[in-house]
Amino acid sequence: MKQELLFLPTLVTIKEIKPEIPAVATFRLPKPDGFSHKAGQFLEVSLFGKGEVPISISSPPSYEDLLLTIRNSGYVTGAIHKLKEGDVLGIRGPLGNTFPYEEYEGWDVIFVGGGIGLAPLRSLLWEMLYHRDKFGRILLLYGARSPADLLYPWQYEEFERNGVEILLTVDRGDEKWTGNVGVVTTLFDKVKIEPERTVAYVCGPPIMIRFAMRDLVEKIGIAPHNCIATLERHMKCGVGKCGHCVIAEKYVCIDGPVFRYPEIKMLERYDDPW
Amino acid sequence: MPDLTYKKIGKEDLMKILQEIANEEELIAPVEMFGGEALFQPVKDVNDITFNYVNTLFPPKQFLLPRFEKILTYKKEDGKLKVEEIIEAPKRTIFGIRSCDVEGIRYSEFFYSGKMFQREDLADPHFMARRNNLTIISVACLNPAPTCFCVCCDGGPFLERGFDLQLTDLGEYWLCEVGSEKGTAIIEKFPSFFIDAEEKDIQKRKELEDKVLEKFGPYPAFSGATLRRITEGNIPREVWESLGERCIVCGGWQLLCPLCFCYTVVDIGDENEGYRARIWDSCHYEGYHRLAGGPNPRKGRDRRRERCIFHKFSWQYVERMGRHGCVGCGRCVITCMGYVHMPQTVWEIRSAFREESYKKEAKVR
Ligand SMILES: Cc1cc2nc3c(=O)[nH]c(=O)nc-3n(C[C@H](O)[C@H](O)[C@H](O)COP(=O)(O)OP(=O)(O)OC[C@H]3O[C@@H](n4cnc5c(N)ncnc54)[C@H](O)[C@@H]3O)c2cc1C
Ligand code: SF4
Ligand code: FES
Repeated sequence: MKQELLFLPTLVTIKEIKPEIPAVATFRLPKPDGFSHKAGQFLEVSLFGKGEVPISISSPPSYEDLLLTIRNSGYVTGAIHKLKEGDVLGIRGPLGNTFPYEEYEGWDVIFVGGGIGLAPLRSLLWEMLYHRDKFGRILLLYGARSPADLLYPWQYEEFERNGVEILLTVDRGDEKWTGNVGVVTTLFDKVKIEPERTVAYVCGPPIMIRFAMRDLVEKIGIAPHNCIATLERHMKCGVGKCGHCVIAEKYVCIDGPVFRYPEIKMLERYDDPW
Repeated sequence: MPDLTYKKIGKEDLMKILQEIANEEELIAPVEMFGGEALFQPVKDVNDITFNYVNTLFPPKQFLLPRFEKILTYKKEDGKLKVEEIIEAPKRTIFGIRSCDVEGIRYSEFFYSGKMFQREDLADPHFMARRNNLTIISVACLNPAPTCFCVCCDGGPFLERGFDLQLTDLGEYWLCEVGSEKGTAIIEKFPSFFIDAEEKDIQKRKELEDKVLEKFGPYPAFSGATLRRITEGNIPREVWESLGERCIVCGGWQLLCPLCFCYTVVDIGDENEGYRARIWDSCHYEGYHRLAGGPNPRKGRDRRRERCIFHKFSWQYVERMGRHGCVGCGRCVITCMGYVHMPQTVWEIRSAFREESYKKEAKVR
């Protein structure tokens, strides 16, 4: 990013808005000239007159467009949800660090997602599927409040065709639901993996990340170093200036959003990363 | 002490060159305001400058990070949106700034330039443009206030870096230490006013510094011990709770600490026309920490005191920033109504441990 453009968003026209689950939609944006990102990074998305919010890039780096899956959760995101195709948004980025994954080639991979937390994981999942032969088993353990809240259901079949083992769970089922009921960590009993050659990527509500990471290490036996999560904080600048996103001495916008478990445990001594 | 060039200048002559500077660019200097407080103000006529102050009520940080700053404007013209980033960075010289505030500028510059993260590609264009256009003529302190404790915080009363010119009052003359190319440029611009300082002038300055060191008051900050304890992360919860209970969340630290520089961003306008601004914000406020959807990891005042002090006094930050986050200007000592200012906090953390170790000793006996 050029320095003089640090706070100046690039204007892009929304190509498509695809409603997903209730209150969540995926926005398709063109990539500005010269734009390239890596899985795990986020954008600052501007709606002028309303404000700016950090949103993860849910599309893999090699995909032709940018896909942002946004939940209507307040002032700015609420206004973004009222936009139509052809309307203009500003974007700044890509910002933040990236998921380490090249070092795990040949390993098995387990994704643990909760709710909208699947959105940031999707970028990495697809990147791995584009290079499917480089990884061993890929498992997706995903939970949501109810069957209607499971994100990207239209894509599960495609994931499975590419050799992803999917296990779903919901907090509360409905009359049609025959699958697992319970929090996402209850799925851990159902998977058999070789912990010493498995890497885990976790994203979801803070409480879920906390327990999922703990169980991955203590119950499944994955090395803490190989348990990787993305954290969420309130952000105002995204570039290490405003101070809002800080946890102890780490700035989620620059040092994160991707952290390994030992790092998060260290922060826990001084602050509340969850 | 690094090699510095020493010059001196007559008192009248200094006023003449300050007037020249004021005519050419913006001169910022302490001015006496209602109630006798000195404040940094733009000065057109150097006769308005006051020399009768220990330090100003507020540090001059708003000249680098304004309280309210438009960072970009947007406007819809014929259905097309136009967005522009506005950078306002007039050429400025600041005169009369004290050592602690100079050190505060150096600290915030280290952060805003991205050096803290080794990410100078993410330097703040607004802050840095103003910083690059700012010349610093500081005045070393000979008479600290009873609330000052810069000696314990590596923030004064004399400095070795960070200034362009550092002046010391030698009676008839000002001794000038030249600290940078910008400082040299001032000397070269007004060659007839500056004369070379003699060995005895430099000697006198050293003696003055030694004398000032004896004058400091009752507010030492035991930074070493406190730093160690905060870094260990095991300060008893009751210490924070006691501090939090007394804190009235005025957010005053943000207004008056030379080393506080957080901000928030707002859009003002409708979808057709408006601007984006950044405004000072404080980690003392609850809303500062609130996450989307409502949860707040630092809801309690104790958590917010803890957060603030961690930023200022932890080895984790010292390692990233090169120093701890207090220069000992004493402003929070004067202002804090809850009695949770920096030396007090530091003292309470230290005493908690002292009591703790007394208890342990008692058990052994
Ligand atoms: C790295 C990262 C990636 C993310 N990725 C995604 C994603 O892919 N998809 C997604 O949907 N979300 C994502 N989020 C979350 C998203 O950024 C938030 O949902 C969004 O910022 C909410 O903004 P809002 O204005 O709609 O919410 P609001 O809750 O209305 O406001 C946002 C912030 O303003 C502050 N605020 C609100 N009211 C007040 C008040 N009265 N006083 C003071 N402060 C107030 C709060 O601190 C709040 O955090 C991500 C967040 C991060 C950090
Ligand atoms: S913490 Fe208090 S004494 Fe230290 S620099 Fe800030 S205002 Fe001055
Ligand atoms: S979002 Fe501003 S410092 Fe990280």
